Amino acid sequence: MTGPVRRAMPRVLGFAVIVTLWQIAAEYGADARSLPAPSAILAMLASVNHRSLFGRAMAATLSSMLPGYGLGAALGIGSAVLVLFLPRLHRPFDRMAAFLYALPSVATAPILILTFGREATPVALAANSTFFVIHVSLCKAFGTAPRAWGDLMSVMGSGRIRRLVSVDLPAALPALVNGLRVAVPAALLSTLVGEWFGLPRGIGVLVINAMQNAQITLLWSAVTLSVAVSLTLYGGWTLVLRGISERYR
Amino acid sequence: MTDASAVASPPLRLDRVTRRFRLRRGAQTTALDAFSLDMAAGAFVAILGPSGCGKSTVLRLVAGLETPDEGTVSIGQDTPATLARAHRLGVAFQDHALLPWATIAANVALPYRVAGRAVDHHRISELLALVGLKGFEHARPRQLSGGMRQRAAIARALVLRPDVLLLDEPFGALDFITRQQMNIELQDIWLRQRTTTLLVTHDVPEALFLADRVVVMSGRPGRIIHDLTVPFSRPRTPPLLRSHDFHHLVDDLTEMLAQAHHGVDVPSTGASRTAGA
Ligand SMILES: Nc1ncnc2c1ncn2[C@@H]1O[C@H](COP(=O)(O)OP(=O)(O)O)[C@@H](O)[C@H]1O
Ligand SMILES: [Mg+2]
Repeated sequence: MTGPVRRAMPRVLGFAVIVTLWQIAAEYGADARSLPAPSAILAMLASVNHRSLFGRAMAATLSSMLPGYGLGAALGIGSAVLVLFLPRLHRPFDRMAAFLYALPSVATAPILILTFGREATPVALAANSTFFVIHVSLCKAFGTAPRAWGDLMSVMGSGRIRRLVSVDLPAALPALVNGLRVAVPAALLSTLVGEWFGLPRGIGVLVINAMQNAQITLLWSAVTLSVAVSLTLYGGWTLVLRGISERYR
Repeated sequence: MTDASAVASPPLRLDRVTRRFRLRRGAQTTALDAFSLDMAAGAFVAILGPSGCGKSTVLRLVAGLETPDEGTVSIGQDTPATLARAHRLGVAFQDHALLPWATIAANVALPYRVAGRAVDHHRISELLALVGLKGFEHARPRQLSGGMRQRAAIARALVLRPDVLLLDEPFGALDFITRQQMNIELQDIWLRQRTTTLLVTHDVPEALFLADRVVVMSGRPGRIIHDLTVPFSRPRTPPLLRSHDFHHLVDDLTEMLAQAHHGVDVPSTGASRTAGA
């Protein structure tokens, strides 16, 4: 038990030092209007007045992000499998995925609004960023699986679908989980950006409003909350990854 | 494990097979040059040869994993690919090729799933017991020694009672005693099923103990430089390994292998193993 604790110590200590310095800087040094103290942020997040505000905003954000994240993951798996079956599509698909990923969401959002509507725009942006990560991770995993497994399946007389189910997908599972983990922060960020274009509520909306009204502590609280949610999801996938990688060595 | 599988194993034939591999920058290597081998139905043939002479390539050609540049490979009336698609081929590769995320039992059950047949759990536990892996059904490959993994791969190759069995140095990672036990088990299985079997090995006594015919290959490009019909009757038992005739043949073949190496020192596995037996 001392092992993991000892290993986590430097990180915990480092985090504590930063927060402490931040607290000191906010109280004695910097302008309180630009840098609220961590204690003030926590107090706001915990306060009865604001709790339901943050709760509703985060629920709205997650209700855009999670479907987008799921859709993007499904499309990424689908396109990677398509490329596996039709290797000729590898290059065009890679380029398309990279192109879509590189598009600045601030520029594409208005187009998305015109095509899919306001409600669907954060979903589409989250889906796009997730799609890229999953597509690339899975293509790489499919490409690096030992050839011996493919040979094995073919001498056993396996069809392509059976090989996909018995070898390709299970072999790529750690890469998929890692991709899902890596995609979390980008998907959340894309959702927030999507919310700026006229959604009624959400963390992104809260951030924009707080900024325009110079409610600095509210702004920082909203950002802190979204980072916490992002890290929690990321950490969850880290645990899953740790759980399954035992089977893959 | 009574096998009433009356399906006669097919003969196997490589007819003047040439196989070249492209290397970097247009260079090419000829792994096999007009290689011919005729195996009767139900025969057990062992291939001996220096490393890199094309033994694995012969097996991969028969398994349908390589196609000849010239010549033909046929198994009975069929091509290797046809036989593979009919799930009638059993192969144990040089590296076991077990799936690391699946248990040993699941790995051995894989041929059933691929063939779309109901998994015969009874057959699987029987085979695992036969290869000395009783109690390891739920272990993962990583938890097993190299030799145990090879034995699991052999169980997987045998599980559907294939018509043709291809073994590429399957006992390489086994200690001497286990190897001898495996040889005896393999002979028993073969005597019951008379599966056409092609075994690649670098162990001379193993080849002589198991095979009807021992074929010695030259260094690359691989050609057959000696074809010996093994005179010992079956079932063969461990005392055979200590007999004068056996020693004599081991010495002959070891000498032959040394020539195939073109004067390069031969690892003395054959001779020393026999002496130790
Ligand atoms: N896929 C391949 N690409 C290039 N060269 C190969 C390939 N497979 C085998 N070779 C070459 O063919 C020769 C015979 O190889 P192999 O059949 O594996 O020999 P052995 O099993 O007798 O050790 C070697 O020189 C090897 O380097
Ligand atoms: Mg080899």
